[in-house]
Order: sequence, then C-alpha cells, then structure tokens
Amino acid sequence: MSGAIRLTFEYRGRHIELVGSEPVDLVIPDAPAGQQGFSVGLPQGRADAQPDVSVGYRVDVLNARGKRIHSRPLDDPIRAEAEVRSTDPDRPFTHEPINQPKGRFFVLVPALAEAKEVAVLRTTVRTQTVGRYQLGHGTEGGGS
Amino acid sequence: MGTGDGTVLGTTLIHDSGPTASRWNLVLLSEGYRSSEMAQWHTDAQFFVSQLFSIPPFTEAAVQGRINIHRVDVTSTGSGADDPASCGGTGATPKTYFDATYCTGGLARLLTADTSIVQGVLTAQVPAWHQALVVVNSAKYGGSGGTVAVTSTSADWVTVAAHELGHSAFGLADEYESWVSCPSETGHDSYTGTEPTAPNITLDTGRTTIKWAALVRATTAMPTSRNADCAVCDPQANPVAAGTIGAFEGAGYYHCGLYRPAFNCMMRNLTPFCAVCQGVIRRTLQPFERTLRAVDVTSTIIECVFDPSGTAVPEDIAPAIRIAGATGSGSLQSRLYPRGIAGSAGAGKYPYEYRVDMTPVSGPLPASAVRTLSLDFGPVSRVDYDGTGGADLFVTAQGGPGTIRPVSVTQRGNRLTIDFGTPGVAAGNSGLLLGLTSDHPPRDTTARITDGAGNTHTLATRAPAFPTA
Repeated sequence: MSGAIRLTFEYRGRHIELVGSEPVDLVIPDAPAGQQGFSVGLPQGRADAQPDVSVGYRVDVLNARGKRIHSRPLDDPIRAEAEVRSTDPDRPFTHEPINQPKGRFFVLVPALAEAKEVAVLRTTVRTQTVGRYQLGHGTEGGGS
Repeated sequence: MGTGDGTVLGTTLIHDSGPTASRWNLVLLSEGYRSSEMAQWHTDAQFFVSQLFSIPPFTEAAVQGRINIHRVDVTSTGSGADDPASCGGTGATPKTYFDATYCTGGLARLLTADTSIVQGVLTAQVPAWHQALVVVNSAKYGGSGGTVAVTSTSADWVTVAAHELGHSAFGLADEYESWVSCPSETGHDSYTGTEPTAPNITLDTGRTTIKWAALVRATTAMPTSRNADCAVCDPQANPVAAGTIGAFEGAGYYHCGLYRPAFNCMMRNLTPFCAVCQGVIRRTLQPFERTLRAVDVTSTIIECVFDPSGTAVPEDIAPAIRIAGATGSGSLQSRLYPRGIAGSAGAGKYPYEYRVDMTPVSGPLPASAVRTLSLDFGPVSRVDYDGTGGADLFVTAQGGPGTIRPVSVTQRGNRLTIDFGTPGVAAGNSGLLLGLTSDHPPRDTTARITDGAGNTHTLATRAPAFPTA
C-alpha cells in the first residue's frame, strides 16, 4: 500500500487547479521544528486543532465532513516573482516580477483512508481558501 | 521541440544509501546534453554530489545516509537551452528534451523547463522522487526554483542549487532583507505581518520563545543586532563572533521587524548554512532511514577508546526474554560504561552495549529466536573505533560472548533497529555484543524485540537521554 499521495497543482496567475493525485510509495519528510501549521505526525487529539496563524500557503487534507485531518505548509508555490542573482556578492539575490506567471507545483501528503478533499489556503493577515478540490484517482477536476 | 528531441537513456543511483522507498530521493536530470556530451553530464552530476556533500550538514554521515541521489541520463538533439534575443540572448533555439529556455516571463536569468515533461520522466524513472533538479548544459547563469528546480552549470551553480534546496526541500526562507536591492528601496522598511511560517525567520526576539531558542547562548544579546534606520538595509558589520546564533534584524525582504538566526547563512548570502538551518535540514530528513556503519572490534574496545586505564567498570541489566513454547529464558543485556575520560578518543561520550542472549533457551524454530531488537537511541555519535575513519556501531567480534551478528542496523528518526535476519538469534545461541556511542547520558527506557513467530516483547533497557525537542 502506498504511504503518500503526490498532488499536482497548476497555476496561472493566482488561479490554482489540482490536476493530479497519484499514490506513491515513499516516506514524507518531517516538519522543521518551529514551522507552524505543520501536522505530519500530528497526534490524533490535535488533528482538528486550529493551525497557527502563519503567513504563507498551506494545503489541508479534509475528510467527508470537511474537517481537516492533515495540514502541510508550502514554500511559496506561486512564482509571481523570481529570485535571481544580483551582481552584489554581499547580497547575491534580487527579485523581479514575472510576466503572466504560470507553472506547476507538487505536494506530498499522507495517504489517509478518510481523505476526500484537499484545500489550498493562503494566510496574509487572515486565512483565505484559494481552492478546494475533490480527491479521486489520477487526473482531477478543477477547484472551486 | 520536446520529447522528440532526445532520448531518456536510463537512471543510475550515484549516491546509494539504501532502499529508495525509505530514503529522501534527489533526482538530477540532464538537459541540453547531446549524446556526445554524456561524459560531461556524468562529470557534472558527480561534481554536484561532491560539492553538495561538502556543505554542512550534508557532510554528515547521518544526513548522507538518508539521501539517495539518482542521475537520469537524457540526451538532447541540441546543446544548451533556448536563449531568446528579446532578453539580450544569442537567439539560439537548440532542440532539447525538456524545452529549457532562458527569458521565462521576460526575465533574462529565469531558466525553466517544461515541468510536465520532467514529471513524466520522473514518474517513469524514479517515482519516489522528493526533489528534482534539471541541470542545463550551459555556462550562462540561470535557474528557477521549486520541487522541480532548474539550474545551468554556471559558476557556483551547486551553491545556488543548495540555496534553492533550502527553500523547496527544507522550507527555509530567505534571510536577506532586501527585495530588489540595498541600501534603500520602498515598501520594505518594516514588516507588519504575523509570524512567518518558515523556521528560520521570526518576529520574536524572546530568548526562551524564539523558534531557535535552544541554540541561543545565555551570553548572547537578544536581539543581537538592530537596524538603526529602517529606510535602508542595516550597514553594520557583524557585532558578535561568526556563527553566533541570536536574532539579527533584517530578514525575509524587510529591513526591520523580522529577525534571522545568524549574521551570515546560505539563505542570506550563499555562505554555509547557519546552525539553525542545519538543524532544520537534519530534522526534515529524520523520518528517512539510514544504515549504520559497523566495524568489528575486540573486547578491549572500551579500554582503547574510552578509558585507557582499563579500570572502567560496566553496569549491566539483563531482563528475561521468555518466548511461548520455548524452555528456559534468554535475556537482553544492556551494558553501560562511564563517560569517556579526557584525552581518550571517546572523551566526553557515553558507550552503550547490547546483547541478545538466547543460550539458556531451547525450543523449536522459528518461534524460539529473536529476529529484531529496536529502541529509541537518538543521535548516534560516530567514533573512530578501529582507525578506519569512523563508524556508528562496533561489533565485539573477538574476545567477547556470542556468535550471531546482525544483518543490518538501521535508524529512522530516533528509532534504532537491529535486524538479526533469519532465523535470528536462535535458541541455544547468543548475539555478539553491539556497541554504540552517544553524547547523552543514560536513562531507563524500554526496548522491543520480535521473535520468530512475529510476537513483540517489551523489555527494560538503557538508552541515551537525548533531547526530543
């Protein structure tokens, strides 16, 4: 039995779609300590606890009642700007906006029997659901 | 352009630490290398491995042992990548397998590949991939991030790739304080948001509450540095000794209001990862299994490594192993010695020894044998037990009791598992004494053994009192 699901998302601008979910036999990396909102290995008693309010994106796995059963923060998945090398050796990076950002990103989540949906959320000052997607087999439909 | 412009030749495991299903899998894919350039690709891939493994904590056996690096050989009809003239490039449009191009989104240095084609190759070649790096055969600077990252082979490309891995594989934020450039820019004076998710930048300067509090010394000022003028990047030099962990203002693209753990770091200016980021990388890889390196030693190992005086007195416990259907009881011997004395190879470290003894037992196989022994040992200290450069485990193969050696000793997270194979330590036999070293003093805990019938037994043992935070 596969230990994980690899979710494949595509984005165009700020619009995100789940385009695939494939079972994969691998170990999921652990959460860095201090990385708030991460729930790999979250004890059962804390599974529905409110995640810490932290700036950034995360993916939640939801059961049939819409209750979160897993949560995973994401390194900024939407590349609207690019980190590029500068000529300053002391500050070797700078940022430039990307015209018409589009791309694909991948998220590993545990293969949980009760998982029915995944949601992509973004927190700035408050948390917004960017998209909510039915989980199935193989290629998925778009988000809501 | 695309998959018709080349061939996937196959995959080679160029850093093989064990089964792919239990390791963190980094996949290198070649792009823009013609068939005649495959030797160069192999050289570039090997260069990547040697360079990455020279950057702490990737230098550590416990980190390398959890990583597999796969090299996927993909030939292209053309060499390099598209280099549009609209960004000042050469206008070249070589036919390459992953359609790599500079000038993505109008940015000259943004080098991308067709991620869907990359994903297809990954699924076919290394389905258990965690991080992919498409290496483009071009000396012109360029790259892009993500779990499918792209890099050219320009100067210091491996260091830049390590910075990118910090983001995409380990969730690390940028620790520099500018968005576009220093000294001044608008909109990045002071951060006013909530606590960032990333483990290496923070709003919090509390000595006991900061994310990396365990690494802050009592003598380090908190915050360690402040930016006197938030309209510009902080111009001051490092006010403390290099490598000091504290709270340095200026991080996450803001001149003020966000703090980083060290003055310099890979995530700031491509210097080595700071201690906080190193810890994050280690912890992220903790769930992956590694195989411990074992060496054979003689029964004088304690004198040789920990106490040359030969006066160290062992302290044993040996709870009984009773297996249903077998006659008599075996034991799990847990042996402690005092901390290594000053001047010895194991100075300041604690040796631990374990032995499964089924000598007094009789009964039918497979049930009356011990197959595995597991316990939470925590970090294993690598020690040069036999002059061959360091090992995780010593097996007292001469001068000690027992004859049965393990077929493998692995660690996943803090859990150590000693596998004696089949039949295992059978009735009437004893395992060899197996030793490990820790930086931490002992505690009373439990170990689990499995017998040949698949039953689990929980027994008292001693193991290091390692920190769990």
